Amino acid sequence: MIVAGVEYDVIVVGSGAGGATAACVLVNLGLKVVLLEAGRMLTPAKDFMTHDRPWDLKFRGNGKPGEYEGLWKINEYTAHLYTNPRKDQYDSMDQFHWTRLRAVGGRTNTWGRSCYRHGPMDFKTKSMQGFGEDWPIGYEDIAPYYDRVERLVGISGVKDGYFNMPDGVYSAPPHPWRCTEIDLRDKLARIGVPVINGRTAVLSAPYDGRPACHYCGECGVGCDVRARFSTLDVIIPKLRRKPNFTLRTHAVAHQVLVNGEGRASGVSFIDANNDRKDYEVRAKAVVLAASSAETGRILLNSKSRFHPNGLANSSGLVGHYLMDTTKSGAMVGIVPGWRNRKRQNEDGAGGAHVTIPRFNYNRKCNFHGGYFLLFGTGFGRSVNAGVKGWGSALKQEIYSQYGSVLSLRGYGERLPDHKNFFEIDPVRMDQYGIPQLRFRCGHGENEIKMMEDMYGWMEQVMKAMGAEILPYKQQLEPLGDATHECGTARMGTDPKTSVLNPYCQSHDVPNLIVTDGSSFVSLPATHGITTWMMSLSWRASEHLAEGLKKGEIHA
Amino acid sequence: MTDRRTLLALLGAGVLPARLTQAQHQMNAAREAPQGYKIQFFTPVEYRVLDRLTEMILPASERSPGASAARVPDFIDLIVANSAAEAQNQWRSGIEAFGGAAFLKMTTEEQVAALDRAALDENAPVSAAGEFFVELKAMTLRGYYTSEIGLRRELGYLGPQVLSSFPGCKA
Repeated sequence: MIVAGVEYDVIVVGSGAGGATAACVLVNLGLKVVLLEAGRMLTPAKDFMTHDRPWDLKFRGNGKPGEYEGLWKINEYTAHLYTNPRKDQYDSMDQFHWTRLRAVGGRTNTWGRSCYRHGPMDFKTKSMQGFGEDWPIGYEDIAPYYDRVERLVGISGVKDGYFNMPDGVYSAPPHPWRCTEIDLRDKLARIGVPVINGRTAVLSAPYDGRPACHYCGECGVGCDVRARFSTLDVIIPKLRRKPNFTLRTHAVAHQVLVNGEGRASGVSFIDANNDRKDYEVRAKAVVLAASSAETGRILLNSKSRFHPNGLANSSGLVGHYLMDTTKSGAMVGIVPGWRNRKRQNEDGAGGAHVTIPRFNYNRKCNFHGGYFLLFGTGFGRSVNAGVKGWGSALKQEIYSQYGSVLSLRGYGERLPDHKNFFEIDPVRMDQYGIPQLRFRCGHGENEIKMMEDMYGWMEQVMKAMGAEILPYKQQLEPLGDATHECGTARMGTDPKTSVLNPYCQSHDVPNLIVTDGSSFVSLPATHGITTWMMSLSWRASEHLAEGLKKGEIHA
Repeated sequence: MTDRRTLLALLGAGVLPARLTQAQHQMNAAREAPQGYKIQFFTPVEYRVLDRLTEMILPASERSPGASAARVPDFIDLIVANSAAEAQNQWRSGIEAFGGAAFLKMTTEEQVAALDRAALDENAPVSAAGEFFVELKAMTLRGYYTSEIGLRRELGYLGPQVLSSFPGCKA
């Protein structure tokens, strides 16, 4: 074990949304911070293939035959960014789609960029909606932090006044709508389905020294000009100018160390770059934000005589109540009115510029919660390969259909369920010898009923558009597929039924906070969790800094 | 990676020059030149059968060139050359099911009839030629509509571009 000579005030593990936000808040409050990132530094101009067209790539984007088959998100554009589960294996790929991106910025490099605020009802599902569990805090506790986070992130949007989806701070106007999106709004109004402006972390106007989006449409593979928010491009450069900030890349944290009182005293990590030796770094407090799964893994792997079940786990709940957005399969239709449209560039800001928010608030349903419908339209890069026949007729039909395709998916609430969990695999280890996770999870009755309702409404939407629906199968994607995993160190006021307190601070270990999605108590329908997580992280980090300064929190 | 044209356009759109200097280093990185493609898997005869079949599936029209000009047979050769032996055998025997060298000697009418027969039960193929047709067509579509000819000239895809603002709906 090689021990670092410097002692820090705080060690932050993970440079994604939750970790970089914590580091930013703590550094700005004058604390000496080291940020440990398991991956490498990225160079956007080299690492993001933002402007590569399919014909620029050897296998047109899909990779060598079979290479990425059965995987998710990994293709020729992104294979060098994501961890390949065939190389870093875990035993439950069918149950949980574990998306890992080990690099500075984490998954904010390729995220979906949705920034909708969660509302009062989302914090109080039990008392206001009769299911799940209430958060120990309410929307009013988080609202001021949402303001700060949104100013940092830079969001294009407008105050729509939508129910239970509070308006936020918008730095730029919403992106203008495509023709198809206007048509959807007009036609869906007749069946009472709302279509509203998207709220997205892609700039429609310059902000904070960053340029506006240039509408190449490829944000999902990483943006080469910083027009979309990532911690790599926005937070890390601000921090690197500060003397009290240190970034340590290739640092694979695997254990939180404890002192003679059972409190956190440091973190041990393996240097993935050079010698693969075990290092130790010490601090007065530790922030874990390695993503819900990796944070849980570190906690469960941090066993000591004080914490025989793993750190912060006297409740036995670390790893339990694993949630991810309930994501349906796609329904695809051909909209006759959109056939043979005049061609125009509809790449836009990557994905739809508008959205269908939860719309079942006043409707009686046989399931709890609600869902968003996300859709895709426009003159993109794919065609309907299911057209029958061959020759000129085939070519003409595909030409005619191009730009008339409407694809829909439901993204819904997930009920917290103790039976959905991860744990340490008793035999499997990763390439560094760190015990691996295994996942045990699936869909419950509520998710299945919700899925049926999703498909019912997707059909209604298709009918309202007069669309010819292509063959489909009703299904839900495995947990993890929406990359919204959370809930595995839930917050609460009772140490017996929760892992963290309302400030994301461990009940058992006061100088340990967790600022990724682990603390979530519910995962409601409103799409995207990143700015929610960042707001919780901001609040928790302020509380930690205050405690450290007053001496109430210490090693 | 960012090519020269995109870089110039980004400069025009007011993107930070510092960011571009960084990109500049990547600009001259060698790309796989599709013109220089060497056939790796198919025999010259098989390749000619493939060329004919793919062009029949997606022929040239007034609007755009067909599969042959879009070098779809090269794409298929690359895919098959990188596939498992079992898949390679299926391609080989599939071309054989269409008559192999004899297919090239058929009249156009006979070739059309052969393709029509193979396409007859596209939803649930029963013959060897029918099974092969499904795979051949899927790969032809994939190769064609991911090529510049297929996506840009045939379909009229206008991206990716560097726009200073998004025009919205201009129909």
